Amino acid sequence: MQSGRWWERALVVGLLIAIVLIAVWDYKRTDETWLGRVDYVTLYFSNEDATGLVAENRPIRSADDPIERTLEGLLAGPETPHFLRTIPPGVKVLGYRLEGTTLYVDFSEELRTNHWGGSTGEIMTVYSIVNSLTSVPGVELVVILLEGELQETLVGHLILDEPLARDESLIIKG
Amino acid sequence: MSGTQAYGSALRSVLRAFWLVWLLLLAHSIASGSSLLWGEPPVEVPVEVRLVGTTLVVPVDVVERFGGRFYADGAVTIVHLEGNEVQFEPGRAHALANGREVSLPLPPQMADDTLWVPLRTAAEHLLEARISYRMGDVHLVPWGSARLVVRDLAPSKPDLEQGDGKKQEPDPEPAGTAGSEPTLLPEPHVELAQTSESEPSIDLRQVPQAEQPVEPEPTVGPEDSREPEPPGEAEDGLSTDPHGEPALRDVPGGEPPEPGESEPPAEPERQAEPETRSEPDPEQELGSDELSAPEPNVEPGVEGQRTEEPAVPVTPAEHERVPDVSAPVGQAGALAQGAAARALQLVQVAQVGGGAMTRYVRLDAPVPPRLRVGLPADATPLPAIELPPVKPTALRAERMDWIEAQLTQGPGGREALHIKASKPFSYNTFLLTDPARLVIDLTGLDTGHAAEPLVVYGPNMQRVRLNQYEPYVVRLVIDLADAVGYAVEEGPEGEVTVILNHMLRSVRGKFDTVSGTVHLDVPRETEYRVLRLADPERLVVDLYDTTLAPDVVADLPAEGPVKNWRMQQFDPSTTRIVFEVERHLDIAALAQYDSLSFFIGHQVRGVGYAALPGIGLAVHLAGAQLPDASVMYLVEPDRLVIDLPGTVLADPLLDTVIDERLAWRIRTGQHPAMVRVVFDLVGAVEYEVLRLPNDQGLAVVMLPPSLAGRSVFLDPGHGGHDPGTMGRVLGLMEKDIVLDVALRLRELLEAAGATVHMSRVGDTFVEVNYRPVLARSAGADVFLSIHANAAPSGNDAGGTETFIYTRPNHPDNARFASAVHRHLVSAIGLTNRGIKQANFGVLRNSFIPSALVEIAFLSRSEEEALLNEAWFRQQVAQGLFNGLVAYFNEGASRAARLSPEERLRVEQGILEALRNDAFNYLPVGTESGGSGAGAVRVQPLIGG
Repeated sequence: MQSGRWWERALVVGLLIAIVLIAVWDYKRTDETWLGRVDYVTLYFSNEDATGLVAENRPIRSADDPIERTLEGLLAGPETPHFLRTIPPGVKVLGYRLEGTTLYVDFSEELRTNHWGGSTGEIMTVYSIVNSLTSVPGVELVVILLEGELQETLVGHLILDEPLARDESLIIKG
Repeated sequence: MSGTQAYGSALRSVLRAFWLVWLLLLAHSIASGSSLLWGEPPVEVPVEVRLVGTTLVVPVDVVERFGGRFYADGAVTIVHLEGNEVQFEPGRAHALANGREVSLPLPPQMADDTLWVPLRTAAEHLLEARISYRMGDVHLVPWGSARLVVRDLAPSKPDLEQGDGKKQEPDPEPAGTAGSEPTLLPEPHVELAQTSESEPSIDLRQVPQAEQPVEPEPTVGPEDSREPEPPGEAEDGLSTDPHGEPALRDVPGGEPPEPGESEPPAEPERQAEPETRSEPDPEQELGSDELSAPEPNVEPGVEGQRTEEPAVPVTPAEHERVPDVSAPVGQAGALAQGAAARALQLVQVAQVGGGAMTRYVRLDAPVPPRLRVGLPADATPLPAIELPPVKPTALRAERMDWIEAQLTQGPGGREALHIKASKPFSYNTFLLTDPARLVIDLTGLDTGHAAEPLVVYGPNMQRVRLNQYEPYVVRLVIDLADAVGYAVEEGPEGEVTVILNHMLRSVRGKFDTVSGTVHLDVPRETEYRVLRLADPERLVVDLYDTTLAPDVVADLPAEGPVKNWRMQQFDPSTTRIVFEVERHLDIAALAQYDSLSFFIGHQVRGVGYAALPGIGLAVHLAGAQLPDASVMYLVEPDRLVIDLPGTVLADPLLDTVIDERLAWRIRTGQHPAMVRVVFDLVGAVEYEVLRLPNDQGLAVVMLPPSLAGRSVFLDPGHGGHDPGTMGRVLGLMEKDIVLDVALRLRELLEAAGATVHMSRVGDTFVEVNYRPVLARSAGADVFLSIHANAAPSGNDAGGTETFIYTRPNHPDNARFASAVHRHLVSAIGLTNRGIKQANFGVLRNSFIPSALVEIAFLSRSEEEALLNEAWFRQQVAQGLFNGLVAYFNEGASRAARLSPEERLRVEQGILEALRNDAFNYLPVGTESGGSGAGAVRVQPLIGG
């Protein structure tokens, strides 16, 4: 045996160990989703200087309700560094209802009272909700309610008393 | 989840993991070029190979680089490589390869403390490689599946070595076996000496291949007898070869050298080699006489009679290329017992990676012959001369010193002679007439003899002569067609350039009555200046570096403003043309193309400004008989442009920041045939041009714009129980900030005559949807909502943003928002976040031009601090005001509609200010203030 062969063996052993480790990790990570069939929801948050919305994908289990997971993710805030949360802290989702393709979402009043205000801030909040929820298949319009009531505006700028459609122009790709 | 499912999941996880690892490995291999998949990238290791007769030998320590080992067992050297063992014994023509006797083409030899063995034996029995010759390379191709890497190497030096006393040429391979047994040379008797040290390749080309008893080693290698090296792969010399053929095939067979030429001089001129290299030979430069050049180093005789010292034909260029592989002369003396040996470069390529291995030896062709023809490598190319001469322009006399004189082109395209000597000198010049000639004595040079006169064909220089005038004085005489002024420009030590003036043989000019311009035809790139002199009024044009010919033809205008003209040689290098003109006229040089153009017009003596209370900003354009001004208003940025056609600015005036309320800067410039004065405005203005009585010039009055009859609805956002956004450091509330800005803006608008309505004037809450209703009921022309911004969190978002609601058939929304946003951004200078579309309640429901401005971000600490400042809020109001004015004035200032009484009042105010010296006149610049005249040396006015 010539010299130089020992490391090949070490490499093979190392690869086998790596395969086992990756398999274990993969098995633990998702027990129901498979390559090519990962379900996820798309959440939109504000970018760093609030010039637009940026997307963050979150894997979900196929049994989950994507609307519920979307709302949970929005309330929880972004996981990506430098993305900014768009829902003020303390907000609860009181309920939601899908009628046809229009989704009614009822937020607690903290969405207004805890809001930071400003036209830009308001646009980021409203359209992060609308664009995230309309990413769910079957949702095309979103009506935002506060404490069960239709509102004129959230914090004084955007009209909220009508169903809102997705606004792609706010999304910053890449 | 059942157990089966779990088992399946686990299995699939394993499969995916395996797949993933493989992908990772693949990616890593691609990224790093590692060997796991397709072998390592070649690593080149130069080692030395020598050519002995027809056989390549390699030192056995090369095997170490191939991963093998060798050790000595007494006289026997045992080499291990790749599981093979070969035993060599110096001087023995057989080796023991894996226990089998094999015959060697050449007995191994000891030299330089290593054993040199034939390459073929080493390759076949140690590497189990085939040996093949392709493209000038020797390839060792180990076991069949290995990939062969052919690397284009720079030709290594054809460093020849040669033992003395070539008694036994150990070449068992006759030329006839070249096909089956690839020998390195087709001719076994070829001597391995390169020939001329300076021009080896020229010699090569002279020597026909056949029947030359003495033949220099032309090239090594199979490439000569087999495949030509492809041009692209070769060095520059070969690439110029149209056939890509090796040198020998290019030899003109009909020109066998004379025997005498082939005979070398008694001593090889190796010592002279560095000199020959450093000093360019003119004959070689000219590239004409190389065929008759002697061949100093062709080795005489046939084999076995060799007693000469080995020639060392290492050319400089080759040295530079491969400095590290130079084999010392005589190193191979012991090797091959005097057989001519040639050091070559064996390049081992590729290291072991898995099983794939590629190695090859490159035998480089000698430097192609054409490299040697032409300019030496260090010769600087002759400068391009546009003047007619085609004859050789270099003249040289040398004994102890040498001098070169060369016709060249001086500054401005003038005729010049560049003189260069081998050492520094001092010089003295004088001009003689009848015949005209320029004499240059160069002191400190000794050339010994006169040189052939250099005939040149310049317009003025006709011949250059050179002789040793007296000891250590060389006289250089330039025969001229006409006596002409000249200048001497000193270069580096030992170099001067004599530059002749432009000879003005004709000076033509004409007056263009349409443009009021005088055009002068003068030589290109002439430097000049223009002056104005008084008593009598006259305009002076000095043309530098020119000499008037004695028989100059002058054709200049005496019409229009020019009453008379005259022309003279002002000093030896300056021609002066004087135009006599009427009073109050001035001259301006315009752009210089093929001719010089001068505009002659009325003089603008100065530009002054004064802020007159109750009137506005007044500007005085001083000058006599000034024509009427034309005024233009330009936007983005706002500028008022006053053109005075037919005038000349007396002095270049500096740009001046005036920092007045209506305008902040004044710029002046001479444009072709007119003076232009530009005011950079703060915002739109109304203006009026007045002609002052008693020929005191013109006045331009700028008045604040009027918004009379305009109605503006201002909507400060939020209010009452809705504070809007809150500052995060100072706790400022949006509702307070925007109300303050709106009130300041109202004041500005009302001062300009506008009617202002507001959604709130105090801290009260107004429904969003009710605000447009208020605006509509007020009958306002525009709706402006004023807000302060906030971003979700963090401190990064900042700047000014304007929102509109885009509605079909309402283009005014965008125009209104654009005017307001642009002026606001330029007034406060924060980041411009642009104009954005949004479905805002206040905008959607107001059916007049509407915009919502977000001044700045209260959520950003710096901008909150700014908004806390009253001056900043005033700037915000001013920016919004400018935007509204710009919108209402349709982006245009307009002529004021002054009543006759008002007009009289303004005029009286200006005259009084003139009497009181209230005007500030723009300072005079020392440089030409943007007159567009490139090479003008502007001289300030002399006299008045």
